[in-house]
Amino acid sequence: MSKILSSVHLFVTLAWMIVAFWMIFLYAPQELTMGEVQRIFYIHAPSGWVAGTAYGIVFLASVIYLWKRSPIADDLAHAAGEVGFVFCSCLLVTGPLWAKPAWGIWWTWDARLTLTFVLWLLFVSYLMLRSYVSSPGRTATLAAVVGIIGFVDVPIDYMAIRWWRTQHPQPVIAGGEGSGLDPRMFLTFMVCVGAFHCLFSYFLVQRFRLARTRRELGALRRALAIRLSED
Amino acid sequence: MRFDGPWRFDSLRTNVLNKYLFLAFSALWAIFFLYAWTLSRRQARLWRELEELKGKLGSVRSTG
Repeated sequence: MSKILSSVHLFVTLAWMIVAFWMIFLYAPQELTMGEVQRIFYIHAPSGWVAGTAYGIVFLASVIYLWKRSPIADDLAHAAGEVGFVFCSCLLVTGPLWAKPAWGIWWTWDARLTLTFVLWLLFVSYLMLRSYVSSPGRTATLAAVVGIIGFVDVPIDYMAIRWWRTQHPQPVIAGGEGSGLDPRMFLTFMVCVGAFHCLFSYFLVQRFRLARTRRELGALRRALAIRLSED
Repeated sequence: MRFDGPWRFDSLRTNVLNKYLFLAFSALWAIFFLYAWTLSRRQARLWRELEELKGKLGSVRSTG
């Protein structure tokens, strides 16, 4: 049953991605100032939204872990941290590739870019902590604390372009008066956000299953060791 | 953002030739495929280990 569901999930994700990429290149109008290169926006911004969602899941699962000591919450936080790192990396790779033709520079240390880089470092440190601390219970607790404290960066990163003057463009979604997108651009963007979240959920489920299998493997190893020591 | 009307078919050439656009989309797919590949490899290895261990545990139980 779970194999069928997984196949359906993958099929829906791929179909949604195909529609999204068709809309990016064949439906969305060309932007006047930047031209074709502006189409990077449709993969850059959704990657950022997904990275924020991923860290939100890390935060919630970490809170639940500290409260209930649930290994399922710990596995979910770990999975979301890893998949979030993948999407945050996409954000940081596509950003400079858009910045160079648009601004003439690959990178600048303005508030938005710096806070996004900090978010990426938080994902890295979260995953490193999980790899290097050997005691399982201690790893989960420490990782949950990092997951909760690190979440502070997400709303500040989101608000950075509203609070401060930055090289990064002002928000085009929920940015108040004067902001906004052409309706076809907006529709394309929302389809891309949906497609990226669908892909994220697919990766998250697969990574979560991996964590559950690993836990099952650990339990079996312990059972085998006990059995062998009894003999 | 401003726009200059509907998409034109002749802009497909410009799309392909824009190296930044090409690099950004290639990098995105490369990251996704690389991650999907590592995930499936890790899954396959864990399932193999799990089956081996279940077999070992079963044989220990039957001999015990």
